[in-house]
Amino acid sequence: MRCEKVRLKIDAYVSGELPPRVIVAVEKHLRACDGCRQTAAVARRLVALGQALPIPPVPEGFAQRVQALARQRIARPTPAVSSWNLAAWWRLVLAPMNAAASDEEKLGSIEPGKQADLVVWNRDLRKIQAAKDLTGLEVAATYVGGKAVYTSPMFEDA
Amino acid sequence: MESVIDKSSEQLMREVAEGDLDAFGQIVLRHQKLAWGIAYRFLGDQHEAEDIAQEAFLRILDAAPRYKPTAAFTTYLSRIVTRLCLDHARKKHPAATDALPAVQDNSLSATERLAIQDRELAIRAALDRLPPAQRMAVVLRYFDGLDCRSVALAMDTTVKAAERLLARARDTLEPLLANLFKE
Repeated sequence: MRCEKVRLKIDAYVSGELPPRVIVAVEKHLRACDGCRQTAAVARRLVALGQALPIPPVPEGFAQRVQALARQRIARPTPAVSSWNLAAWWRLVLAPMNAAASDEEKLGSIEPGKQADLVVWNRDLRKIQAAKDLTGLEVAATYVGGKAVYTSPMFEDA
Repeated sequence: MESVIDKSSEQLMREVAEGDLDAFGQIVLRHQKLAWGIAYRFLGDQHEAEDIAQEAFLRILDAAPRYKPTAAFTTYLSRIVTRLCLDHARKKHPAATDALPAVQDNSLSATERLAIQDRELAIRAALDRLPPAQRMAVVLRYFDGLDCRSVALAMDTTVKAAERLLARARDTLEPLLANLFKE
């Protein structure tokens, strides 16, 4: 095996990825070649350096910040959402309502006597025919127990 | 009922595609360290690394309906983070950050913390000498511990191309890190 090939395979050799017959060929070469033995030593030292060096912990609150951004993105679809599967998107929109409808005495429809948990959209969802119709779709307001827990700045005066 | 802990990331991604934000939250918690680690080691800046890692997860959210588990989820995530890092590096000239590396371990003495910071600065300066693709290959292989095949998958390239990147990077790094190798 030539030096050029050993140099390329040295990381795989050090991490134990090579098949047995290739390992044998590499080791035979290393026994006879100072340069490639040095290359193997450098690869091992880099592995050891990487393992010894701690990475700072993930910044505190990272997961919560991502989750908050995800909620915003779901509530206010970006143009990228137009490439979503429309059926999947419908399930996303209706998931909270479906979950609520499991308690049919209190939830699931807008009627007197039922819990006023509802989401108001800026457009009639029943008229959405294609993914392009999602553009500009926004939550206008969210009510829980009859109280507005979210109102879009666009609709605050409504 | 299967607890969320038992679910594979691929199963959680199917639920994310259905609009389940709790499943997405689990994905983030499970894999934030991987995304952050790659981004931080490549960029050397905590704020930039957080931005990249955050963007990676949001792209995963956007693409969830199209996600197909043809590879392990970690490979998929690594690929997205890698691509974002390389795009970031191409947009701005990579320069060694002036910020001192953060050393979070409060059990260390001041001397130990200084030693770690010095070592970090030396590694940072060495990594910044590498072109972005070589730097990413080094980060994935030596700092994130990926094997060569996984490095190739994360970089969306062939094993041979990844091996060439690592070989060239080693040639550059060896004299720059010689002092550290002596320790």
